[in-house]
Parts: sequence; C-alpha cells; structure tokens
Amino acid sequence: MTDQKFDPQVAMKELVDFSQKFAKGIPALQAAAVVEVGCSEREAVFRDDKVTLYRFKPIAKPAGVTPVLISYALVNRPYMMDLQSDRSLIRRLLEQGLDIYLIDWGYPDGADRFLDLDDYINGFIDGCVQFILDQHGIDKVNLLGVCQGGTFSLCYASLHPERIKNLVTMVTPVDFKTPENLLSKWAQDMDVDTVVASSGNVSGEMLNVAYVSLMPFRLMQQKYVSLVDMLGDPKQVENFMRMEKWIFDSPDQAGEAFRQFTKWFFQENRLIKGTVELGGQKVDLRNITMPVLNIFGKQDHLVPPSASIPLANYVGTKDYTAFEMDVGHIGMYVSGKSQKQLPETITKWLKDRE
Amino acid sequence: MSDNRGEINYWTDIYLKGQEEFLRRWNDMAAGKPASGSTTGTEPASGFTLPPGWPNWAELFSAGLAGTSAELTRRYISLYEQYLTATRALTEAFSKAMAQPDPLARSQEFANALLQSQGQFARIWQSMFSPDPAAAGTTGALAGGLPWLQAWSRDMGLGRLSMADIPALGLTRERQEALQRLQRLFTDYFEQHGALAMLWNEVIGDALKRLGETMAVRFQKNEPPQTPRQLYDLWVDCAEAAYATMAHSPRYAKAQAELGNTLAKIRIEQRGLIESVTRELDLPTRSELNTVHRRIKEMKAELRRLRAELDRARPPRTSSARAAKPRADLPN
Repeated sequence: MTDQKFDPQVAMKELVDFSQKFAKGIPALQAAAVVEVGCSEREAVFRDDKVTLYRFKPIAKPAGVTPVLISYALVNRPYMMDLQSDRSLIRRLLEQGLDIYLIDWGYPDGADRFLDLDDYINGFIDGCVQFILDQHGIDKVNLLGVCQGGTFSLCYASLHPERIKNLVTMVTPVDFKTPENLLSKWAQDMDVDTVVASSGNVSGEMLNVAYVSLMPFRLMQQKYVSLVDMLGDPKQVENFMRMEKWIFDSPDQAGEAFRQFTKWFFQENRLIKGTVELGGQKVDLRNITMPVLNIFGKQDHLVPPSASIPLANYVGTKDYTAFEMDVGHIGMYVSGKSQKQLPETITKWLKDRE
Repeated sequence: MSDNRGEINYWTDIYLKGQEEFLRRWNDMAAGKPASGSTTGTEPASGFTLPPGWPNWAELFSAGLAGTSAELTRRYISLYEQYLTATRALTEAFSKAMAQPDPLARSQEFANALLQSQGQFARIWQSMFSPDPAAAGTTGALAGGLPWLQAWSRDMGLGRLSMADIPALGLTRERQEALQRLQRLFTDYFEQHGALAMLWNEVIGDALKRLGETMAVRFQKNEPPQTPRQLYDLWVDCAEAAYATMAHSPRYAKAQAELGNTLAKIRIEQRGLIESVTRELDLPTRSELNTVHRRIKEMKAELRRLRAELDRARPPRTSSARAAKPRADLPN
C-alpha cells in the first residue's frame, strides 16, 4: 500500500481556488439574478377566475393534429414546459406543427382556500376544454397531463371520455402507495385535516421544504458547492438561476384541493380503487377507452416509475402505449435527451391516431 | 507525510481557549460574580486575552440575569461546557489519528473518532430538547411552569405541577383551557423535535460509518480522495445513502408527521387566541371570512350547475354550426 495522503498543500490550494472562483463569479451571479422564463410567444385566450388558458403561436406548418391541451401540476409553475428556447418541450412540439394550449393555474390566495378537486377538474379543466372545442368547432381535444396534472387528466378523461380524443400522461402518479414513493410514505401519518385547518392554503414554501428534504445533502448543499464550478460560464449560471427560480417559484395550494388530494390519493390510494368521487360521479379509470400514451422517467425520484407503470392495469383502453425515458422528473422537461426524443414520439403517436 | 499536527493543535488550541474564556465569563456572570477579563486588566484563568478595547458583553447583560433568566443561563452554560469537552476530545482524537503512519489505520481511527464524537454531540443535542427541566435542557425550562407553583406543589406533596395541570374554573376557564392546551402542545413540540433530532443524529452516525468504510476501501485500492472536494462529494454520497435508509423508515415518517401535526395544532390554538381579541374589538376574523368564502363557493357551484343545465338544453352542434365557430385569428 502506498502512502497516498491528503496533502494539506493540495487541500489549501483547492480552498484558495474555490474562494477565488467564487469571488470572480459573483458578478456572473449578480448578472443572472433576474432571469426570464417562458420563451415561446403565446396569447391568453380564456380566463376563469385566476386560471388562464394560453394558446401558443404556431411556428411551423400545421401537422393536421387535433389541438393539444396541456394540464400541468398545481405545484410549481407551468413555464417549466417552456423554460428557455433550448429547453422547451412546448417549443419542440410547436416545431412539430402541433397546436398547443396550456392551462396556467395561477397563484391561489386566501380567497381560494375552498377550491376543491371538483372545481379544478369539472370546473377549470372542463371550461378550458369547452373553450377549445367551441373555438375549433370540434368534439374532442387531445389532453396531455403532467405530474399531478396527469392525475387530474386521468380523472377528467374518466368523467368526460366523450371529449378526449387521445390522452397523454407524463410523469403521472397512478398508484400512490408503491415502496419507492417517499413522498407518499411521509404523507401517511400527516393529519391533513388539521394542517389545512391551521393554514387555510398550504404554502408553496412548506412544500419546497418537503421536496428538498427528499435529498437534503444534495439539494441544500452540494448543488450550491457545484455552482461555484459553473461561475466562469455565464450561460450555465443563467440556466442554473432559471431552474432555481422555477424550483422555488411555488404557488400556495388551495387548502381544500390539497386536503382532498393528500387524503384521497396519497393516503387512501383511491384512484386505482375507483373510489374518487367528483361532482357526484365516481372516477372509474375503466372509462378511459381512448388511446393512452403513458410517459415516465426511469430515474424519477418524485414520481417513481412504479407509481406510473400500473396505469396499464386500470384503464379501459385497448390502445395503450408505455414510453420509458432514462431521465429524472425534471430531466423529462429539460434534458437534451427528452428534448430530442419526446416531441417526435408524442407527435408521431398523435398523428397515427388522427 | 508532513507533520502538520503541530499546526492543527496550535489553531484548535487558540479556538478552544477563546471558547473557554467566553464560557468562563458567562459562568461568572450567571453566578453573580463581577465579570473579569481584559477590559478590567485581570489576567483570565484560561490564559486567553481579548484585544484591548473589546467590549465585555457579558458584563453589559449581567444586570438582566436574575431568577429564571439566570437558571436558563446556567443550563445553557452547562450545555456549552459539554460542547467544549466534546470538541476538545474530537481535536485530540483527530491529532492522534493523524499520527498513525499507516493510511488505512489513520482513516479507520479518524472515522472511529468521528463516530464517538458524534455520539457525544448527539447527547448534548438531545438534552437541549428535553422537556424535563431537571435535565440540562434549555427548552425544557419553558415547559416547567411557574417556580412558586412548583414549590407549593412540592410542599403539599403533590409532586411536580405545571400551569397545564391547574383545573379551569370560573369566568376565565375557557381562556385558561386554551392557554393550557397551548402549553401542552409546546411540550409535545419540544419532545417531538428532540425525537426527530435524534433520528437525524442516527443518520449522521450512519453516514460517518459509511464514510469510514468507503474510505477504507478507497485506501485499500490506493484511490483515496486527493482533495477536500473529493472527500466532500464522498461524504454527500454516504450521507444521502444513510438518509434514504432512515427517510423511508416508518419511524422517521411518523416522527416527521407528528412534529408537523403538532405545529399545525399550535397554529390553530394561537389563531383562536388572536380571534378572541379581534372579536372583542369587532374586527373581522378568519372564521368570518371563511364563512363568506364558503357561501361564495356554494353560489359558484350552483351557477355552474345551472350553466350545465342550459348547455344540455341547447340543440346539438351541427357540421355547419362547427364551420361558423372558429375565430378569424385562430387557424383550424
């Protein structure tokens, strides 16, 4: 065995280099302090209370596909789908000639604390679908649900199958009680009635604490240590800051919707049991008879694949496609791999079913 | 290997002596002695002197230290003494490990020393959150109740009584009960915080163990970390692995949820107290606003139901109607 040692001089040099890089990089950090998010041109076409429906301006020859409505999660902002020109799933879909609509749920405040899942699914989503149907004079729309928005889309498609031509779910939890699902484990002993009663809405900051607590040493320390290595590259710093903004730009959750989602989905796993009830109607996944494309990330630590894959066992469709990508939850929206593969996959899948 | 033990001891000695001097002054102050130090020209026992003109903070605050404050300060100082002892032990163990000529033995000795120290620090941390005022806990004192009540209950042979144990009677019973609920919740909170902190200590202990094992393997393969950054990255890998094991366990989920639930209950009780005051001043309360919001929501739901009925009553869409629908600015 050689006497390889932890040389104090090497250590000291690294610390000095680190300090110098940090000092030199402060202007780059300051320059990137205000970042812009959302890169594609869009127009607000419909509003209902704080919810806005956006339609993106076409940038390519129409592919002749029924318009696609994207339903994002209530947690975090939907601009993740259109973060910057080289990291925008929406832009790539527009380049494929798709007609894209996006629901922006807005920032709920104290007056929205009693909004429930029925309001979101049978109210807001249905309002947006109706608007698109009316505008285009069509009977059905393509629905693309992302994360929690995917769960909402499953509920909506089950309750209103006649309005959905094709359903695409991305990183969508279906079975909420699989062994890898850490968030679900933490939610089981939570007295959600008391938590919501104490705060009205549930703050985005509290949810952020939960998310970074999934991997605290990496997400609260190491990533900022690694940032120092990026400081010499303004583009990388800007990307980092943009992502940082998205991560912590977290709307509060309407209390009642949060209570129902936590209790019904995380604690009672009602979606796969067929016992979710919205507007007096049972959500039965067997009603989902339209074609389904289920996309999930192999490395997803927020919605593990085991939470998404079981969808195949519960939907009534005979046209079900699973598409696994070797990415994490956020990588699904922004990684080079997904930017390259996902838009083409989605567009081809939709075109084949037009 | 260059012998840098002398340098390490030099700097840690300076740090520890400074801390000991700091502690000595607080100790004097808590005991009611006049504070001594560089500003008074007296040579302190620790041999460490502060620069001339350095303010003697301890002396400035000493006037306010009486009764419960002095008791809390003594408890704080007791914890601080334990902390200094543990720090001193860690430094000595570190120096001893560095003296090992064999890299593998050095790594193992260092990892063992870290684990031992972690245990010491964990005990200090645990005692901080002990709800029992008899323990060294600083937070425990908050749950201990009034000194006169404790003295009286002791004299009457009732054991230890706190405010939370006094039966609520008469005109103020509702408010007293509310305050008692709040006090019990704070006691629960400190206990649960301590329990969660102990689980975190287990995580750190497990992480250190994993780091020691990983380092041993790396040394055996002649691939030890060469820089602090490499060591840090190894530490993060080990810590995340240790944390993941704990975070997935039912006891961690339970401890975390219990703490969150208690915090929520505390907020509800606090809001209730504030609302009782705002009601007296005829100011709007959260409860009133909630009632109004519920009524609006019910009205909106009714409106949605009526709209849906109207939609159903509309004639079905025809193909000619469809053609007339799209707006000019929206391509089909």
